[in-house]
Order: sequence, then structure tokens, then C-alpha cells
Amino acid sequence: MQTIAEKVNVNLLDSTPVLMSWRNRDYKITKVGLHHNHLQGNTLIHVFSCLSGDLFLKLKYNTKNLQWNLMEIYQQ
Amino acid sequence: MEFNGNLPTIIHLDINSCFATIEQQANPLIREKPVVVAAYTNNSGCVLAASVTAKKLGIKTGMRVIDAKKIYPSLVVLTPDPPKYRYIHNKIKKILKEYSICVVPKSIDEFVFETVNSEPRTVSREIKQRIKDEVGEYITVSVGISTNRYLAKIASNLQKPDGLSVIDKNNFLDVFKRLRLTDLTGIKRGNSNRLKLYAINTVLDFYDAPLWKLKLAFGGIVGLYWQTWLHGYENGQSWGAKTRQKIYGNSYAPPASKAHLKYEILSKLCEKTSYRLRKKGLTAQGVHIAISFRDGSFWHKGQKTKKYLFDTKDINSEAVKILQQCPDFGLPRVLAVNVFSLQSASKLQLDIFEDQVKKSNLTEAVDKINYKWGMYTIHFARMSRDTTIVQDRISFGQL
Repeated sequence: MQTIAEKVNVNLLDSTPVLMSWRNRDYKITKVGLHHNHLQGNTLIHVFSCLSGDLFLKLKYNTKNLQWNLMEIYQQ
Repeated sequence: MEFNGNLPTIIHLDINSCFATIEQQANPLIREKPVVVAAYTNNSGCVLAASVTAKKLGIKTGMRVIDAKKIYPSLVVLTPDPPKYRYIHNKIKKILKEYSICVVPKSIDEFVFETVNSEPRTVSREIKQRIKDEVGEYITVSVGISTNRYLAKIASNLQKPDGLSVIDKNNFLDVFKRLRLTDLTGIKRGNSNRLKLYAINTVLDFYDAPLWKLKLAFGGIVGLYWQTWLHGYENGQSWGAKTRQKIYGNSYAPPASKAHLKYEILSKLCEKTSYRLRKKGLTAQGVHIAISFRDGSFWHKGQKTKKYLFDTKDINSEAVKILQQCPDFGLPRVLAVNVFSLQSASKLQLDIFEDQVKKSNLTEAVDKINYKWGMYTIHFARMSRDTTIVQDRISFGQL
């Protein structure tokens, strides 16, 4: 696992991420392994653990500042 | 005593290789690989959960990462992600609550519940399928069904992963024949040696043993409990009922690189403990510290206080006083803080020198801010905000 913690843009379809733009490159989301959420203080955080081909992405959505962050990546 | 002839209605559900399976559910790239979740990813980290594939290779919970890597060098080692595990726990609990009014979580990965008007095997199969559909297709659970909690737990261990087993009046002898004494929960080397002294060498011997023998082997009432459990009965306690908690506490096993920060760790543990205490509306009249050291020695001391403690500062200063009495055995491996002699905070004793009500209002206001903006938003200056000093962990055992 490699920690990234950078802001990214994410396109959604039916509340599920389908495309992520990071460092001027688009990554098509092919599978969402797990979607979970938790509270940080009273801010609801959504976490999507997903795949873009053979790249694992952990995306975090902060419902207070409406910001998406790419937290971790993993490649075989 | 005959075996309980009632229909088995108690179900024990256990998530297989909980932390590791949840990580594999989240990341499909590691699904078929040997994966472990360890307290730390460095060589001295302790394995908290091994995936089914890793277990097949001989990697076990409690091993050091370095030993696990000796078995399989390209092992995937991950650190725990508690919010993820709590989310899955709550999601499964929500499903179970649709089938039973009394669902008791025994730990983060175990639940016990009772079905009343439905066939437990059918219910279990349905629950297993719903977990796959609604929680995650890679998450498997082992289900045990019996007439009491203890045998339901034993049944859940019979077939792993993804098992469904029943122990009832029809098959209990066959099941007991297949098991070794140490396969029973609660019987490991010490208890098995104790039983062997009384010529109890197998589970069947244990089942057939007269009460006087068990009372001698275990000493008093515990012998009776064992006889009751093995015969499929509960030991008289209402199994859904929660017992009143007598102590509150937190413990932490720091990595070697942070082990010298005893006082920082202590202050953070006190912060966590006092927050939990206040959330339950309680005050304490005693503080206890326990430390096990890296050289294998152990030290602990508890002290009663005249004051009613609820404020982090007060608990921490009492804890520091106790810690200062500790002889120097080197670096700690595990540090634990507990508070005891609990009373309701509504019976707050006023102090002649200090305005307790003012202090209580202040801590309540600080707690509200911390609840809204996140733990440790407001904290004592002496407490380090470094989140790596005491990381979020899920304890083993009952929640």
C-alpha cells in the first residue's frame, strides 16, 4: 500500500464512483470492493475501496467540505 | 444429567478471519493471496488476523510478522482499519436483528442470538446468503447451532470457513468423539492437564465425569458450570443480560520506537478512559495502572482516591503519581489504565476547596466540542496530539 492523500476529482453514477481524475489522468473505476462510512467528529466520511483495472484505490469523500481525496493506492 | 433434549435455537455466528477477510473484500487484488493484518507492518509487529489462505500455510494469529514472512516471504501485511471493521460489524448486526430481538455481540466478529419461531438451519442459511449479498461477496461466516451458547460456539468452530454445524441430542456423542479436549473453548494446556489429573482424557470422559470430580478439578462452582455447558444447558444466568461494568480502562501496546513515551501514552489512555467514563455518566474513586515490560516482568498498582474522579486532568495526575512509584524495569510492552469504584455522576460530592459543578460543566462543554469536531480537538497541553502515540485499536473479547 502506498499512502497518497491528495485531492482528486471523482465522477459518480447512482452514488457510486465511475471515474477518477488524478494528476491529469483519468482512471475508470471497474469495481467497488467495499463502501463504508464513519464519523470524524460530526462529519460523515464515505470511503470507497475500488479498482481501476489492476490498480487499487482508496477514495475518501468528506460530506462537510464536499471534497474527494485519494488516500491509498496498491498495485500487484 | 441427560443432554438437553430441547430443539437447538441458539445460534453463534463467527466472521471467518474477520479483519483479513474484510480487507480482502475491500481490495479484490489481494483476495487469493496470503494476507495478514498486523498491529504494525514492521518485523516485530504481531499478527492480529490471518486470511484463510495464510492459515492454510500455517500462519497463525499471535505470530510475529517476521516469523510469518519466513513461512511466506511475499505475504501481504496490512495495518488495522477499525472504522471498516466496525461498519461491517454493525451491518451484520442490523441483519441479525431482523431475525431475533436479542442479538448479543460477543466481540467484533462474533454474535450470539436466539431464534424463536423459525427453523434455525433455514434462518442461518438465509443470513449467510444475505451477508454475501448485502455486506460483501467475499465475507464468509461460520454458524453454530445448539441448545446453549457454549455448544453453539463449539459448533461454529467445527467447520471453517463458511460452515454450518449443529450440536443437539442426536449428534452430540459423535461430535464429542471427534474433538480433543483442547478443541473446547476455555480448555487449553493448563485446564487439560488439570483434567488429566482426574483421568479425564477425552471430551467424552469430560461429558461423563461426575460433578464431584469436576468440582475437585476446577474448584467449586466452575465444575458445575462445565457440566451444565457440556450437557447443553445454560448455567442459570440470563444470557442476554448485561452485567454492570465495574471498571473502565484502556490499554495499549506501543511499538518499540514509541515505548519510551510512557507519560504521553498514559495521558492519552487517561483521556480515552475518562471520556468513556463521562459518556456513561459515571465517576470513579480509584485508579489502577498495569505495565508488562519488554523483559517479561509485570508491575501493577491501584490506588483509591478521596476525590470523585471524572475529569481527565484528575485521572491523569493520579495515574502519574502511581506510575512514578513503578520500579525501572525498562521499556513497557503493554501499558493499561483502569478506573474503579464507579458511581453515578449525578451523586457528585461537592468539594470545599474546588467548585466541582463548574469543573463538571467545563468537561461537559469540552466533551461536546470533541464529539462534534473529533476526539482531541480540545485537549490538555501536556497531551501529545500525535495520533501514532496511541492508535485506534479494536480490543479482543466482549464489546
